[in-house]
Amino acid sequence: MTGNQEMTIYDNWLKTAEMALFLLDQDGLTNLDDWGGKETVREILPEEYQRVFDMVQIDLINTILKDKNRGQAVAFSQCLKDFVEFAQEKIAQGRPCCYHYFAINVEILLALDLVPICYELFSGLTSALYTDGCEEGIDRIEAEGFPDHLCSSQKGCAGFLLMGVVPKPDVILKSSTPCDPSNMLYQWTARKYNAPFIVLDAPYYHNERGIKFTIGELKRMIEELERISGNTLDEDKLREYVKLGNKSIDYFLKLQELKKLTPCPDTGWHKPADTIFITQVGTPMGAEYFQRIYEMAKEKADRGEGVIPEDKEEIRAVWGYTWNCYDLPFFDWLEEEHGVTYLADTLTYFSPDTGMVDTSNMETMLEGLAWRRCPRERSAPPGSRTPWAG
Amino acid sequence: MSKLDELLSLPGREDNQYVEEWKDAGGRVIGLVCSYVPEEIIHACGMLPYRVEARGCTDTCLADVYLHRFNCTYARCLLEMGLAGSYGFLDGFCMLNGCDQIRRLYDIWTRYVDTDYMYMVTVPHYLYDAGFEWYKEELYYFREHLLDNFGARCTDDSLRHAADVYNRSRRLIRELYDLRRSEHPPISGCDAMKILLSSYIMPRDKYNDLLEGALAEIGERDPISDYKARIMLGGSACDDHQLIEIIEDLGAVVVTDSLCYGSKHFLDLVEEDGDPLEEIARRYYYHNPCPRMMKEYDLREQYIEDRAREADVDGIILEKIVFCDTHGVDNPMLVEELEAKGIPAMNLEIEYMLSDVGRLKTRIEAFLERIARR
Ligand code: SF4
Ligand code: SF4
Repeated sequence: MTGNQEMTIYDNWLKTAEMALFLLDQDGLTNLDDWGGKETVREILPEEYQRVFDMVQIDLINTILKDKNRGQAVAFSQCLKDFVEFAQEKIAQGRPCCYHYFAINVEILLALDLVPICYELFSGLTSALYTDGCEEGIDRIEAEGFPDHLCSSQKGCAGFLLMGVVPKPDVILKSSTPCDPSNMLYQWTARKYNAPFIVLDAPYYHNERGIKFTIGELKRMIEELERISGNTLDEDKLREYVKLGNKSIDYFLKLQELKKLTPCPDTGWHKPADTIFITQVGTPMGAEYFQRIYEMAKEKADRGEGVIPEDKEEIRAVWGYTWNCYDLPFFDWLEEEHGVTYLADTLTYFSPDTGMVDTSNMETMLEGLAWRRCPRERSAPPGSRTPWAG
Repeated sequence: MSKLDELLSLPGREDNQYVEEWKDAGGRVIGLVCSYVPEEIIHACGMLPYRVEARGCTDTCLADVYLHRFNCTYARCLLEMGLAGSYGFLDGFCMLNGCDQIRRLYDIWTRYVDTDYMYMVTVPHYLYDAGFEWYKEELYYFREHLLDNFGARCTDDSLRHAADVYNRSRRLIRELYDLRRSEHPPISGCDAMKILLSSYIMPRDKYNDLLEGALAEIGERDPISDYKARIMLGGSACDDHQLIEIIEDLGAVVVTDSLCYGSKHFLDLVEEDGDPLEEIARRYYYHNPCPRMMKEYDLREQYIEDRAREADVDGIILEKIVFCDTHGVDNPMLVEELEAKGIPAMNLEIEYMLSDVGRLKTRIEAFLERIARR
């Protein structure tokens, strides 16, 4: 029993973030065994955190307590807490929940005062944090007759919806890339919950024709969202979020640059989890998270420090497409045992030409957001006729 | 050999004399997958459209090097045949972004199979005006590309003529479906499937002449009256009659389908008036949608319900090839909603290279027991 059924997933995440901050605040606690092991540490925790403490992967706690990982862990937990509180507050205000695929420009959703909820995050982060991952959600949706070969990242959330532990969608927004499992289960979700279903078609080619098509798609999406939310997209409000998005991307790209250094000054365990804040590009939390992560790596780089033991030779790794989000400590173990640093993966990579969105006016912002969407859709090189993933 | 026998035997023959004759006369053959690649354009460029199939594939040793075991066996079998040289006669191959499996098949085929000319037509993921405009442009580029590469000629008149030829096919096939729908059908589902499959692998005007004669012969046949149940078949790609044979050997008769190698490919005509390329695009884009069309579940369900009701079926079997995610999600949704409308339906997981036949028989038999009329 994971406990998912007892509270909503957001409540679990919030308590988990607070519990992590509590532990990270304890001087001298760098490993649960230092303080007598799991059971003893559990006793010092305020009661409200004990339930999530039982759910969380113990290896993950020990990983974030290490000196070299603490800074990022504090940033991560604090921003996660802010992110959940932000969503919960908006939901409590009765704002419509917009489920969206992770490669969507949330700046527009925020400016329309919708609550952006990234579908995949429910399975991804739940798998990253808890021993039982999103197994209950997967079992629940497979019981509906859906095949076991559908991607678990999609099944987990669909199952959580059926379990009633995530918010009900008021509108569903899906890009037509990158895959059939997501396209199909988003459709099912929209139908099951009788929510309007907006498809943002991917233009297939990363060239002028493709971008023109994407801008058209964004405009159509905005019209539909305006109708659903009852709000009109305000240029100044959008500008605020686009600036925050620019700030996130700026720090993200600077961090990518730092990772070119040898020794690599950034730890690997948080990298898969960065996906959460990539879905938050445009929020204050997203900007703050990437700023803090960057600054920590920069300090290390300025001192010429790396993240692997001194006696190890650095093995610099790039991860193809996705990652084991269910096992963040694995990347720390690779650093410690084998000197393997985590430079990039194709899922969280922004190409250096991603660029800042020009905030001069509505048109420049939409065009910039369209261009930014392209690399996030795993596009072919500019000018290529090779279609995108769709 | 009678015209009917010719059409019934062609899909199972090792040699296809129609393709051989075409090639001997210096003609070019362009392969295609999926019912969103317009055969008319290839035909109008003076080339033979050939819908590739993987019938007869018995293992995927070569393909498994490039496609994983968790790719659907239809895609893997196609690749197997490509790698084994079975499609050496193709001068070109046009695929589309139908599903993830076909999309990846395109990449791998381009790299590892020796087909000189490869092309990808991209299709938007639901039905709307801007999507139609995109698709229309894609077909325009496709035609231009064929002309550039093969030095072919294609005029509006040749497009109109091609549309006439394919419309004639569609009308004749509609007659075949009308015969199948009668209370005592004069043709089994298995034979009907073979007739459809022949259409994909021979020049269409010749096919039309054969089919016209074959329809007359079918009308003379003894009708099938002692069946247990009337079945409709739908689901993943099915370019083989074997599954239908299994169903019919168990005493049912398959009287209609919603397959993309079946009725879906042939209903809907190209409008004869108007700009021919635009009308061809309209017909293909707006034809009854496959599950890769994201917002069109209702149209799919309606299509299936209409076909089921007009053929007075007792039940629907929706097959799903293992690892086919599109039909993997669509089928359970359809089963639930069709059952709620009083139409018995089952979701049947199969492999493209039919295996585990005992299990299939047991499941189909149980379904037939539930719905049988006698
Ligand atoms: S792209 Fe892959 S990992 Fe992502 S949702 Fe689709 S199947 Fe899952
Ligand atoms: S059977 Fe399914 S997965 Fe296979 S090619 Fe067809 S739609 Fe794609």
